[in-house]
Amino acid sequence: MSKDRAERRKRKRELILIIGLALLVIGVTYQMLHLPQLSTQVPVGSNILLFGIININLILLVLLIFLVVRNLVKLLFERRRRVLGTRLRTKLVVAFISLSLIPTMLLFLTAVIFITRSVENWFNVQVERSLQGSLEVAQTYYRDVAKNTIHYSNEVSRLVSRVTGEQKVQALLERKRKEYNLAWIGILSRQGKVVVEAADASLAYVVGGLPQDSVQEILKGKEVSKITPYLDGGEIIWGGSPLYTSKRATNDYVSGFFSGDLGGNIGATSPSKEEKIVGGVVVVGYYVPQSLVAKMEDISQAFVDYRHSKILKKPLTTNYLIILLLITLVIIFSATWFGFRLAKELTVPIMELAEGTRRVASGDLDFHIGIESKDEIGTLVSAFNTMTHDLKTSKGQVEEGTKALQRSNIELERRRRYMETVLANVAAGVISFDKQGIVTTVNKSAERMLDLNAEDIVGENYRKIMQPGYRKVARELIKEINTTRSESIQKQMEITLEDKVFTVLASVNILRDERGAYLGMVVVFDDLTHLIKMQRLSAWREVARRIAHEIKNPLTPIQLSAQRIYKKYRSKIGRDAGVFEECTNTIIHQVTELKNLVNEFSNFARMPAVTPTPNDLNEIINSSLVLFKEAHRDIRFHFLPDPDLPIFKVDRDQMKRVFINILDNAVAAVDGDGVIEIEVKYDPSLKMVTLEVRDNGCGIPDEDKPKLFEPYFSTKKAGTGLGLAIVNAIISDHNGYVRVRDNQPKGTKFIIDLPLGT
Amino acid sequence: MIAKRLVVGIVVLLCAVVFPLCPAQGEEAAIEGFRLERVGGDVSISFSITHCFSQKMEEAITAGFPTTFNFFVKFYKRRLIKDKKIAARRFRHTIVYDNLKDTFLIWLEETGREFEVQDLEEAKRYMQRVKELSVTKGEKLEKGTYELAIKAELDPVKLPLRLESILFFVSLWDFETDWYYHIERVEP
Repeated sequence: MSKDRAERRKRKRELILIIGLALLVIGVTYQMLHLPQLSTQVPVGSNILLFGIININLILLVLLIFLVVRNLVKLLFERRRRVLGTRLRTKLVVAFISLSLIPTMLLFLTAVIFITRSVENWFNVQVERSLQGSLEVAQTYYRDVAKNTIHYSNEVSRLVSRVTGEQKVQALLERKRKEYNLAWIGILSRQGKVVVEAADASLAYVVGGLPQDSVQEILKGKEVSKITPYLDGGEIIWGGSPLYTSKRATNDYVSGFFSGDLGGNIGATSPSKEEKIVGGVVVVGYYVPQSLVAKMEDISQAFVDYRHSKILKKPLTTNYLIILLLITLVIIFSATWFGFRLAKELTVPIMELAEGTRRVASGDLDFHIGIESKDEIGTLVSAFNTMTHDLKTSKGQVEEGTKALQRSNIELERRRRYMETVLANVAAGVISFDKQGIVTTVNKSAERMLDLNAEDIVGENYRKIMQPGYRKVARELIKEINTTRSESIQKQMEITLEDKVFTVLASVNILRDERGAYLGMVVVFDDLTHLIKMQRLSAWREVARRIAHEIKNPLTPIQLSAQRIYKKYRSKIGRDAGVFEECTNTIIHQVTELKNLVNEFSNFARMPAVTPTPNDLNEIINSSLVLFKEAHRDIRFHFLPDPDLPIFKVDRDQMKRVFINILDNAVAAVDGDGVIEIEVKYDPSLKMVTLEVRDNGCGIPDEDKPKLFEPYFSTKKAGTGLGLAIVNAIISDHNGYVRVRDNQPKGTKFIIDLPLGT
Repeated sequence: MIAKRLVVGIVVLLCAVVFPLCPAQGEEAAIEGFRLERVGGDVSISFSITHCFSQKMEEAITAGFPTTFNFFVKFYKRRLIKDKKIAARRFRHTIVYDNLKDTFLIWLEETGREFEVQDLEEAKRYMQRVKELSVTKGEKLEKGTYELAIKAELDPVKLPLRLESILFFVSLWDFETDWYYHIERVEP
């Protein structure tokens, strides 16, 4: 926006400048048209042409000065602003100015000195003296000849007055003409008519002599000299004197000779004797040849020219100097302007290239330098434009490829995420290895199952991170795969992690790409612990149910039969009655024991379904604990309830049974004097209740711990091995989890986790 | 700002170069001694120019420059809308010095006379004086107001090498009188 405004301002300024220049030109033309020197001396057409040329020159000079100065100022400002390219432009302009200024100024000064000296030489004193002398010679010649002609005319006038008779006068005139080397001698009447004459025969047209006004002057008594041109280019210098006569003096010859013309007695006697009157005019003419006249005119013209030039000496010199100065200025400014042009031709493409490079670097590949030149700069610009075009094309291809790649990546990412989601959500643990045995993938189930942190093992070799026992198993598996040349193998195994043992089904699969190349392996772990546990539980329940069914049925007849035998045959057996009674009682007692055992099995087999109702777990525990406190006063029971535990749904009877069973075990473990602690903790964030039953009894060996919750496993002599199995079954039915740990420093602790959400 | 000052500077410089071309003048030349004689339709005038010869001009004349005075005479009848031109005359007085013979050749165009004089002052008198110039002859002047305008100027001096054609040449001498007006009323 601001750029456009600046451009408009610039155009306005230029318009004003152009108008100003035009007005100036008009003014100058008007001024020149009114120069008096030009208005009439040369034709109008020439004047206009001359004015045009001068004005155009002037305009060009003004424009040149303006442009050069403007550019210099602009360059100065741009240099201050450190605009790119100004340094090179400055160097070039300075170089051109220097290259032009020094020789031009030298030439100018030389020319000034030369012109000044030349002009001075033209007008030196010697020349002027010579010309003046020559002119004076010519002037003296004319003056002398004029004087001579007057003298001759006077002489002739005097002699004529003394002779009488036409012939004598004629002879006198002829003689004097020859004597004085005159072209013509004549006597003119008062009317100006030639009375007698003697002329040089070689000069055919010497007539007339003095003009009439000169004759009149002579008749008034004056002596007159006159110069008239002659036909051949020469001149006749006339001299006239009055011819005096007396009225009283008589001279027959003279009076007779002149009587007809002069109309009176014109005496030829001496004028001094009596009153004299001018009776006629004696005119003599001296012929100056053309060659001499021409030479004298040359002398005259030379002197005139010299005087002309002398008058014009100063303006001439000034004029030459001004013209010389103008030419010098034109050369200097032209050179400067050329420097600017050259610098512009160099710097503008360079600036454009710099700008283009910047734009290309910033990613604008549409930048095109519109400078057309056939030199190396043009080649550079063309190469740059080609480069940007190629870059643009390549960028387009790259962008297309990138887009395709991005699409592919997105798809891959989507698939990867899907796979990760699948892997994360799949119940089976998955661990993959590459062909070097480096762990590449561990899913969440594997982390949870194997109690691992994926970040710790991904990127590590399995040989390094695996425990020696499992490493051996792994080697055997790999060996088996290699031996059987199968692509997969499955193996059920038990894994012990700390105090936890679980059964997994490990599926080892060989990974190959589409070309069959070996990529590594993937191991899928299916946790079978719970399944096996359930299967065992179910089997045990079935066994218990069958045992109960098969054993319980004959027990009652056995017991009844034993009681009948005792009643019927007690009195009949005399001496061995004691033995008999003891035996029958033993049968009856053992059957009763057996019945109890069978009932236990039967109860285990026929565990009722959980019916959770809102209950206070603290209260359930407390009510269960009361019985034990009463029965075992020697044992210290500590109950630590959690007051924040809310009421939640739980099967009261079954849960009570759980605590009774656990407390039974604890009481059995402490064997008299001991401490049993029950602690309840509630985690609101997890909504989980954790119960811990700790005793300081004899503890449980590690090898027994995995089997502890299995049916018919007991470390007690009188135990049925069903108590903890029932606990486990009830807790599992409540979606909880029960585990056994060693109590520190002594004893055992059972930990039950129960979710509130069930 | 600097560019503006620059332009102003250039214009001033140009004016300084161009306008000094106007010749420097001393005392202004003028028409004086006007006299009009009217006999019927014949109108003749006499006048002379004063302060028309400067020292430089005299030097130029004696140096051989042919010098010519141009005279312009216009005679109009004044009218309401446009004046009517009765007569217009233009003539010249020329003086050339012959240094060889030390004479001044005078040519008065209005009379056709060509003559020589020895003295410069006499030659100057001939040059600046117009005597009994016939403006109209034999015309019947109607009743009304007439205007006579007279002007004289120096014919441009012809210089060697056509220097006068060059812009930077400064004229050495020059004169030009203002128009001299004379109103003449013609009664029936």
